[in-house]
Amino acid sequence: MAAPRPAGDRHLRARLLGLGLCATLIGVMALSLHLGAAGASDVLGVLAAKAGLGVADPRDSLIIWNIRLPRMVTAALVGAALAVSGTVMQGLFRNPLADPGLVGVSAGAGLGAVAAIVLGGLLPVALLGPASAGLTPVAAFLGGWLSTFVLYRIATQGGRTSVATLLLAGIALGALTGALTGVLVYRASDSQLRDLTFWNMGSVAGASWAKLVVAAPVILAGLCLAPALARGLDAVSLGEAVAVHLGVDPQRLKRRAIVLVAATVGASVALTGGIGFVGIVVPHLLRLVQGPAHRFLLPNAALLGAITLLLADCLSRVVIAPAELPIGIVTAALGGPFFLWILLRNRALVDV
Amino acid sequence: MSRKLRAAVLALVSVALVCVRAAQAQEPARILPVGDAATEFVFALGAGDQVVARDSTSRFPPEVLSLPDIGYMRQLSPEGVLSVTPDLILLQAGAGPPETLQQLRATGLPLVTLEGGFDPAQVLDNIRLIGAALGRAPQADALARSQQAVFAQLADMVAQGPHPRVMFVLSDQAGRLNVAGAGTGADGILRLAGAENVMADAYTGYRLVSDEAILQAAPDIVVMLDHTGRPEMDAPAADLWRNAALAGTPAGQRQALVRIAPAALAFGPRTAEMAAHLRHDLLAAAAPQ
Repeated sequence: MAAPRPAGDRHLRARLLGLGLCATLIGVMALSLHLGAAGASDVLGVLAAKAGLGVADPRDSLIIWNIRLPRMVTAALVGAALAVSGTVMQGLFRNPLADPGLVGVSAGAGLGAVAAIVLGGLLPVALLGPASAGLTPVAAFLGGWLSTFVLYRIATQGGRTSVATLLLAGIALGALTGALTGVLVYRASDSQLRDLTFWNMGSVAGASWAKLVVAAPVILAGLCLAPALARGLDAVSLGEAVAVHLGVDPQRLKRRAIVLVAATVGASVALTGGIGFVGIVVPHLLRLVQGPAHRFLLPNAALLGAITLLLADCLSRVVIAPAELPIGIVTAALGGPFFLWILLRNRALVDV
Repeated sequence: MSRKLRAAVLALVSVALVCVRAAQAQEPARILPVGDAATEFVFALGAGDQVVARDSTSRFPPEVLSLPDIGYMRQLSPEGVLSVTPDLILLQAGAGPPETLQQLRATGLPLVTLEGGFDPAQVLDNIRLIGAALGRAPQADALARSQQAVFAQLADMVAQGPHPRVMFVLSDQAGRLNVAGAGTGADGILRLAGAENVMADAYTGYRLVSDEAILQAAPDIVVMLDHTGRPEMDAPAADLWRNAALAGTPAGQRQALVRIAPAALAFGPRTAEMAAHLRHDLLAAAAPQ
């Protein structure tokens, strides 16, 4: 293991890294607005026109304002949410392989979405009206919340949440949600099956302002509240007993962390479907570079998560244009080998 | 040339020009058909050279393969569609997702949606619908009438019987057969070819079936797709007959297998012809050897 650096040195490094990530994020956002299959060059003109300065070509305006901009915001928010949730889970479980899926939010969201796709047709359309398009995301959000809540209730006894029970119950509930999903998949028609497959691969192509208005406040609230967990997560990393001596209530921390993850990841999955690997890779990568202090880890994870998903989205648009790859394929295809490479290079550092 | 003649020629030319202009104004110059049947209809109506791109399901006629591919018809991205600057989009039933269609509608682009369904009436309706959208109503009318005649001829032939009992196998996944029930393109083409789909009463859509269900259905003939040009996708017949349940059916005992082109499931302009072809193959396979 490398010689531990003085904390001040590390903090400076983390701050500089944060600045670098901010600059990169701005650059990648500009790239994301600029890049696309359809020709629309006048990005600034459209933005100026929306601010009331001058007029823009309606076609450009549509492509940039209604297609690329909501897509950019969605990718950035979801990337940040997944990375921050991953960081929180890894800190809470003191396990570098923990990810938001551990508390059941992904499996539950998946079940909700599958139920909406397969059974949605049974609901009277007149009852739902225009809301029927939002059925899948809402069901995904509720499914994620519900399964997280059930899991948490199971693992909590007399006000104490056992991490081991949480993990084991998570496996059991995962099997159960998997079985229910399987029943629905078996019942699904041919075209529903194809919808399911694509939903599971994740995509930001369906982004719209209407969806963002509903989901973005939840994600933003989660991102803003996450830094408040930093001190508690640092303390817990020394063990729960030590944390109590440091004045941190581990039960309260667990409760808040799980609510935060369920909310942000539930909303993210509802927006884009399942996107893997960002939640594991991003915090891991940052910890190798800047150490484990959550005060810096959480904001930098939000930035790097946003950058990662924006870049993945840019790739997904370009590789087979004018067609598009589902973004979950890109994050897994790039994230997997990259993660392995990091692990092999830094074996000594991650040996726990 | 006399003055009068010159004036007449000029007048004629300008009238012709105006006519051409008018025709051009009606006919969309850049067509994007989404879905294999939609694409085939556009080509059958003679507007193939106006097609600017294709989706990944459109593989016929062969010249579409050189066009840009905007992706899978159920998973279109708005920007991908806009990037080929269509001025008419023809959507086969099932094209989507709804969010993309909504955004495309917001651009003011004309979107024409074909009806789904697997019977001759649907084919004729779709021909006329596309003909109207392309400004080619007379051609569409002619095509619809000739198709109707072929369908009628086929129906006469079918009415005389026989009606072989057929199981359509979409795929053979390690010995588990995915077969076509009611409400599928496969069921539609079997019906047109005068066959009885042995799974139509049991299932809707494509389903993995148990060995016992296969034995009980007891088909005389098995029909599978023939992925012309993609041999890696053709499940080998030998594997199929190794399925113990299938081997116990009349079809298995005679190893009666008929293959049809994947396009037969699409219900495009070649449907009648393909159904007639399938009928011929089925009768040949049903004849005692």
